[in-house]
Amino acid sequence: MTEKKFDPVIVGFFCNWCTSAAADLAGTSRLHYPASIRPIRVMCSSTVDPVYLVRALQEGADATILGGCHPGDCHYITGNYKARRRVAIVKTVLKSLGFDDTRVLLEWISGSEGPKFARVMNEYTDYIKKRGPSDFKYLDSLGGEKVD
Amino acid sequence: MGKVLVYGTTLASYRAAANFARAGHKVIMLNRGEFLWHKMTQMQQQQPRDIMNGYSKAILLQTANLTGNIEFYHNSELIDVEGGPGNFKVKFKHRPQTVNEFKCIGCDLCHEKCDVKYIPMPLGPGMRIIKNAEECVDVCPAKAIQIPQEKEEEVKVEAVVLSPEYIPESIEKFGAGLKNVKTFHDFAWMFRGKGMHKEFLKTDDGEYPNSVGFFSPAGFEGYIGSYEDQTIVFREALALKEMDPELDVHIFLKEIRLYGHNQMRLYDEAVEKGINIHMIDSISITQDGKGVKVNDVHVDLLAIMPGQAIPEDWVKLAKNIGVDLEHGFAKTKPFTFETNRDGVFVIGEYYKPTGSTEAIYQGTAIVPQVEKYLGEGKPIAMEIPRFEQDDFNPKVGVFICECAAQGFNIDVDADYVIKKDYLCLHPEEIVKEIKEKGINRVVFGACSPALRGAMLEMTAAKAGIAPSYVELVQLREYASRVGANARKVNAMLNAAIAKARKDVYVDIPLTETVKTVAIIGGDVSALIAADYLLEKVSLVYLITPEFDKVFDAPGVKPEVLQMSNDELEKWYTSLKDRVMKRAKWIKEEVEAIDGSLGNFTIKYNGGEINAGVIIIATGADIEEKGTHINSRMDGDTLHSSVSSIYAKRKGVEATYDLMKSYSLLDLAPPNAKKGEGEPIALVKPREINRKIAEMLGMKLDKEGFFYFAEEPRYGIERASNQFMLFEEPFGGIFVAGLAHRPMSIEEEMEEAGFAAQSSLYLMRDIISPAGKFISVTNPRKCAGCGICVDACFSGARYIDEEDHIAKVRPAQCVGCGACANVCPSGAAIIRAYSPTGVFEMLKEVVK
Amino acid sequence: MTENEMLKKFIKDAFEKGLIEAVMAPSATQDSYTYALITKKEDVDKLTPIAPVMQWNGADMIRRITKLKKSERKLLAILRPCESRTYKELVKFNQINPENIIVLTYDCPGTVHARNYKYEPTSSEKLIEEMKSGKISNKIRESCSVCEYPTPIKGVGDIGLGIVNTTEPVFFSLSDKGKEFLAGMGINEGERDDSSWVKLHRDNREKWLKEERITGGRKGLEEFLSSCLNCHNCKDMCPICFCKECFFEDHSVFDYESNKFYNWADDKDGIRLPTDKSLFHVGRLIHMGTSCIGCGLCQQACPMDIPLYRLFGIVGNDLQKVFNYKPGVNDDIPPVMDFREDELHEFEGLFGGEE
Repeated sequence: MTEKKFDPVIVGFFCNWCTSAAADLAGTSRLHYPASIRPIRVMCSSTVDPVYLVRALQEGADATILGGCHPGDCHYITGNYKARRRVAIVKTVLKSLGFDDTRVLLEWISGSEGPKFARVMNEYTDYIKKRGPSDFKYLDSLGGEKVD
Repeated sequence: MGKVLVYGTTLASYRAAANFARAGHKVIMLNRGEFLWHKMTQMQQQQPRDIMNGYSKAILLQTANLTGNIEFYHNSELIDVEGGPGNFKVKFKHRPQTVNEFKCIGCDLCHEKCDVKYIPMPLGPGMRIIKNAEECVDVCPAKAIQIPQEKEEEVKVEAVVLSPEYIPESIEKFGAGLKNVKTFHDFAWMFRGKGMHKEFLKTDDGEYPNSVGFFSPAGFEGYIGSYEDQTIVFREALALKEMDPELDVHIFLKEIRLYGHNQMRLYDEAVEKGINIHMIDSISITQDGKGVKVNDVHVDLLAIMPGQAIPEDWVKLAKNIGVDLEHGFAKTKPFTFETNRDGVFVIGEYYKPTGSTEAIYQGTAIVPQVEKYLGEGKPIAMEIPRFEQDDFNPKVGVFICECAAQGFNIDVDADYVIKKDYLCLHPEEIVKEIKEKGINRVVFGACSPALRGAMLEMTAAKAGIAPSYVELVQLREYASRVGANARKVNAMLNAAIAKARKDVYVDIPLTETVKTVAIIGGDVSALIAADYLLEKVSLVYLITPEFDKVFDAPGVKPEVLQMSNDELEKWYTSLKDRVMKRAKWIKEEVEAIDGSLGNFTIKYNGGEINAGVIIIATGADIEEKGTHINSRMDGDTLHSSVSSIYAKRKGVEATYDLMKSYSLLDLAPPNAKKGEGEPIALVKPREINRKIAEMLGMKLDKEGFFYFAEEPRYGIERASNQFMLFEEPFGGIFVAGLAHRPMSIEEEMEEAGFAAQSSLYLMRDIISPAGKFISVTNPRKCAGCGICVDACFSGARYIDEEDHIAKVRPAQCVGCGACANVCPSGAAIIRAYSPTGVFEMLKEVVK
Repeated sequence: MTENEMLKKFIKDAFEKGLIEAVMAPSATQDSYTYALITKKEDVDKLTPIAPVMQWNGADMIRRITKLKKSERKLLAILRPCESRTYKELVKFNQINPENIIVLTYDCPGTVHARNYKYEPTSSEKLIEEMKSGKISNKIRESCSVCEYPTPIKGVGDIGLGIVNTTEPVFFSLSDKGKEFLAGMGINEGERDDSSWVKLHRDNREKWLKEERITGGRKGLEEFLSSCLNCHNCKDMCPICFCKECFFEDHSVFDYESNKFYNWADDKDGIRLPTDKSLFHVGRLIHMGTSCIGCGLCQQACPMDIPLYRLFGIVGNDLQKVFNYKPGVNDDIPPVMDFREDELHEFEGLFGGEE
């Protein structure tokens, strides 16, 4: 494979009431963050089936973010607690099999935390850049690093 | 349809305006700031990070948009109120906003050409004040820029609701001016917009503190405030401790004022987490090195949560309108919000020290009281339009708003790509294009749905496109404004197009409801709720073997606190007579309850009835033994608020342990000193609560009080998000009065009013609040395991015993999608967000 | 009297005393054993209550009987310890209605792989003999030799039969229902010490958890699954996979136009078909891992002899540790049905919520 600059793709599932609002605020405040972030607006962090996270990684995302309201602030009362359990399951499965579990990130970002949103996106992209491309997207393919 | 003037912007008035509009009345809202939020509410003053404001404002604006019933005037001042109820002439002056916040589309063109002060805000375009508006009116494509010329207006209204804003008392007397002493607001502000992280916690010297102290002056001379002061302090202290378990956290208190439902849990948790709580009798705050010494405890940083001050303008306002004050608070007729001047009402902090829960109760309970002057409201009729349905031949049209796309090269795989300068300004052109080209899936590449999402969806609907065939891509806030590239823009659009191709038609279900209300129990609140409801609902049942007597804790407002027992009895008897004339009294205990929101079946010895909504007001037994202002029984709720009123009214020499008085009682507290003794008034919830809770699947606390609308994290009483625009998530069950917690009759009035008014909104056939996100079950796949039932917070899902399959109650589904997430077999799905569509979307979005 | 004979007598007595009206227990076939349901005392001799093979999970069979409506007759089910835990887990998932059912379970010597049994039959008596001598047979399945709970547990099932460390097998109750039942049978409850038998397995298990773990992420998983046929047999045999139709068999979700495949192949420098082979296993882990009982039937079911229990058992073990949950051994709510307000902070943020 030729060496070229690694430009990661990070799929973000952001809940409608908090993290998406924070992303809005980051936008209206013109706080720049890397174009690697591909936001998807969902109603609640608990809308996101863990299989969606895994699927995004398999489809070619180098990482995924699940953004929800802070504990206790969920618009649907307990959605974020349920989401946290699902993320724990996904991360544990990945880690257990020797995959890089930091490719799934769970963050609580409230609607007024636009700057925090931008900060997390920046920091996470930097982190993933250092980490390099994700292994998971080449699962069941002939590409990526050679499998002996 | 009546017209009501609401003055002031507080949590209570936000809610009141929204509720009047929903009940079908016109509202004129006078805001003294340049925009809503400019004049800060109590919540903003106390805890600027709290989400209550955001929700309340969002609800207000949403209602204004939906009903068209609210007129806002900004920078306004009330001049004069003439006339009487049903016929007020109100004169006020106002100055228009330089940028009309309803019209502003957030394109930011004015930023380039005008002198703009910009305040970013969540859920909208942000706020702008333009200094040279006269010169740049034409800059705005949406014609939102207005010339700020002061005008005088005269309007006719049937009633006036006053809710001027609160201000905090000065902390000067406690040592403001010392280094590292801050108001709580300034302390909390350190983390605003950034989250609670160690790096933002700094002393005045810019160092990370080793110890942080909080001080709430409740119980000290001159203090007046609500329980919110201390719940906020405790919550913040716990959050600090969670952020950094090593941090030394102190709380200094003279009295513990956590008298709301379950609030003592905060105290217990604080003790458990190692927070030092110092019970102090006096306070001295002195500089001690870089930090301060509070009595003999050193802290590096001290935050003081001030009580409430009486602003001068409150006094002026009262004088101007002819409202009597006592100690700065408006006087009202017993157990109402109505002042001595008929037709003029007060709610919020002007009425009495008010926490956010109470504010929301008041903002709802005010409606039935004012309505006697307003006549019949005309709630807007909601209907579900029918659309063309074709799931198999998608023809995708992408509409790109240039304001959002800002010159990115759009290269996407759609049937049509149509670009417009401003989509939101030309809805008719969108409709035309859709019809001409035969488009049946629409992807809008525009701005945040919080801004024009609903409007664009409605535009598509006008062209016959069902909401579930519409996708919105937030090109502006998610891409062009934050440094995106063409790759990202096209990936986002292609993802939406791929999903649009798989979109299916979603039928939004309508649930027929029984238009009656059943009130279970004989509490005072049962009668008050019935009193309000009987005007509006054809049939109200009261199910109770007997009615409770009026008890000796009428309230903290002087008008009721000083009522004689005879007067109290008279008030109660006339209330009861009024209700008994028209309500149907079933003199039995409830035996079984089946059904759900819209259609409950309630069985009792000898019969059964149907009701759309249930109000639980089972009351409590009050035991009077000694003279002690008792704190807590076996649970997490202080009984002291009721007890301190008892002590005050009986005029006994009392003892107390945690708190002596509260709210307005602080002006002249009961005669009590620290000590122990037999309780003066112990509120004992009734045994029947257990039975009812079991029948309805509700939760009781340790003592047997009902949980209702509690904050989920701590389960304490606080206006949580459950106070949304929709009442449906309550499941058609409301709790009021002593069944909920120990409270005065005055507070019972607020809760009963909330329950009654909220019930009224449900006295119609219910369109599922989930809209296109309605959850459904695929019976072929459902194994009936019930995981979705546990996941559903609003009780919309249940397992049908007959065929062992999960079913949905559409009236209660809010579309969060938790069921679809947890379902292992993909049987529970949100059809507008099905795996098929999402998988297609993921494929494109990673490109 | 062998344990099997003893159990058969027990069943006959129970019929006679009217304590039961039906029995579900294994019965021999030409090459194996299946579960059989009998309703008459005369049919008891057709049963082999303790079989040397576990072809299906018995709890899965009870699920079929009682999923829609509770058992109409008083049913005695003879289950292995792993099956009784499955039974308890499936009750939590609303798949079994436990009303009217008595579960009897026993000190388990393990079972032989069904295919091995076919070509090299053995008897449960032989296996029990080895168990009594305190040795884990080398003939039994991998999952049996690393079983965490090879003996009855209090609260799981109703009646236990103790075989190890005792001269005569002893009955004891595991629940109030069982206590009542034994009293009705006129049987005195006995005791025996099963700790050494359990420890033997636990030691094995510790070693196994360390040594057989699949590591290396993509490389490890692809190698492990390299011979997988994508037949989904592992899922079909899994008693916890109770879905009527698996998410991964929904063709509307996994069917794409040809171009999507070519694009994939472009992007990933070639793809292996079918594309959802590994995702199926990862997905299944996410769905059932927290409740994996450890019966090992996935491994027995694999036509390619992939030691699948190493995948599901070890990852499942990790998952269960996270939630401090042991499926089927107590009344805790399964992690997928529950949540707590203050938990799992190590999964928040990039570095466990700390920055």
